[in-house]
Amino acid sequence: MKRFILLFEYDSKKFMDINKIIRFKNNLARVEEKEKSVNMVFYGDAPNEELATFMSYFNSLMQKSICNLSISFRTKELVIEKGINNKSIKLSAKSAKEIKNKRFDNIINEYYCNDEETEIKLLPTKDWENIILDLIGE
Amino acid sequence: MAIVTNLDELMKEKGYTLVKLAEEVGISTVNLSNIKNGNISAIRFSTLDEICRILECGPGDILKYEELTKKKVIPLFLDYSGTTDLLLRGGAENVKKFFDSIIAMQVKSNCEVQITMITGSSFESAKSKYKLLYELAENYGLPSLFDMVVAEYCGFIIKKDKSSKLLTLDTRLLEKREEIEDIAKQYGGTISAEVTSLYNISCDDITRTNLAEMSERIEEAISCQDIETVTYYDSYGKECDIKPKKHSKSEAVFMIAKKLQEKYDIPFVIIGGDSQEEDLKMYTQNRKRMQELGLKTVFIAPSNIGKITNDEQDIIVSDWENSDGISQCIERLNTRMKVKKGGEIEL
Repeated sequence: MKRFILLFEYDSKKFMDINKIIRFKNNLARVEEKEKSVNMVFYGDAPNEELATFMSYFNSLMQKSICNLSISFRTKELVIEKGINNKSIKLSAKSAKEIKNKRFDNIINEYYCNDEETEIKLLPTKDWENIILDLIGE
Repeated sequence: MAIVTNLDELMKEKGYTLVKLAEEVGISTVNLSNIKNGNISAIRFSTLDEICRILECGPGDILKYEELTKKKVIPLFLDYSGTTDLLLRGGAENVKKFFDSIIAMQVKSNCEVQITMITGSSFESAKSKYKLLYELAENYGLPSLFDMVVAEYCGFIIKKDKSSKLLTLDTRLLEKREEIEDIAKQYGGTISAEVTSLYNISCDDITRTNLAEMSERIEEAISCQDIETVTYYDSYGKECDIKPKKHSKSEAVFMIAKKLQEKYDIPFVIIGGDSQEEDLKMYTQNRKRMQELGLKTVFIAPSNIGKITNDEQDIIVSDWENSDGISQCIERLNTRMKVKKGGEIEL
């Protein structure tokens, strides 16, 4: 099964939208029908607590654990959402420099297994709810 | 209908601070502040005369008559964590159902529904959650739905940041800590609790007049328009606090309902909570005293709330464990609500 890790810049205003989330859910179902799995990773200038809450809310609204990892530019930490046991990991100086230049591959590969079936995609937030249809060429 | 003052703008125009003008007029800054904020029922001609002379204006520039109609608002007090978890647990469709039930109530009642979340969590945590809920509602066309969040352990200084429409801590409060503490001390009060930059000030023995004066002075010291100090009187009216000595959701609900009543025309108040005993108290401890204020209270709750029965007329229960229970309660309340020709609402 092909796995996609979709990276989006954190923008709660754009993602906390009921109608868009419902549309995204439907689109995701179509992607999954084609034997593809999707995880989302958010990065941006926000505190860890906000990112953790956002991931928890987003997963609840999706009724699916689709997003468990965020990268805080503010604290230079990885924020891992695990229900009420959220965890954060300080990034190394090298990784911090990489994320500043929007290079996330190494960090993502460290968290998710690095294999040929996993593809990391940095996506724009505009029209985020429909953009995953590109993964199946629709 | 009200006489309103234009003193604030006039002072800015003429380059006068509150202290400077008070000195020249020969009254205390507190009194002048009351005049400026319209918190007076009368004004001496001699005072008005002096203000006019100093600001080089006529009485009509300071006082004007405005017909005010209060906005119609239905406050909905919700226990934060439990309720939010339940709402979200049902997914986006469930939140949509909840928002739709609110919109239906707004349309039928011609009132704006404003939710105040009451939470025991820290203000920092509440702030993140509130921001996301606010955005969910705003994106759905309900920008005024989440009116405020009250983190009960943070007391009752409530701020609504106009720029981001979020409740945030204000670092200006931190900078003013010493000044606030000094003022409190002068009235025998202490900062009894503080969470980051929010202060609770307790006074064991203080008169209502002194308390009001102290509040005024603190407000002056803070000098942030978006921050509100709220005065709480205990049930006997003898000993008074800036906040209740015992933190409780029910006290917070009562206090905020009183504040909202000053501002809005309120047909009824909805209180909702999950099965926690503290949530039930938000209703049981407030029903009678809200009634005395002329506020009708309805409690929406899960069917397993316990200690109350379905026979209670003002309690609407549903199975909240199904996560759309809150929407069901609102829908049932909607069905029960009768709107008369003149807009008067009956439950």
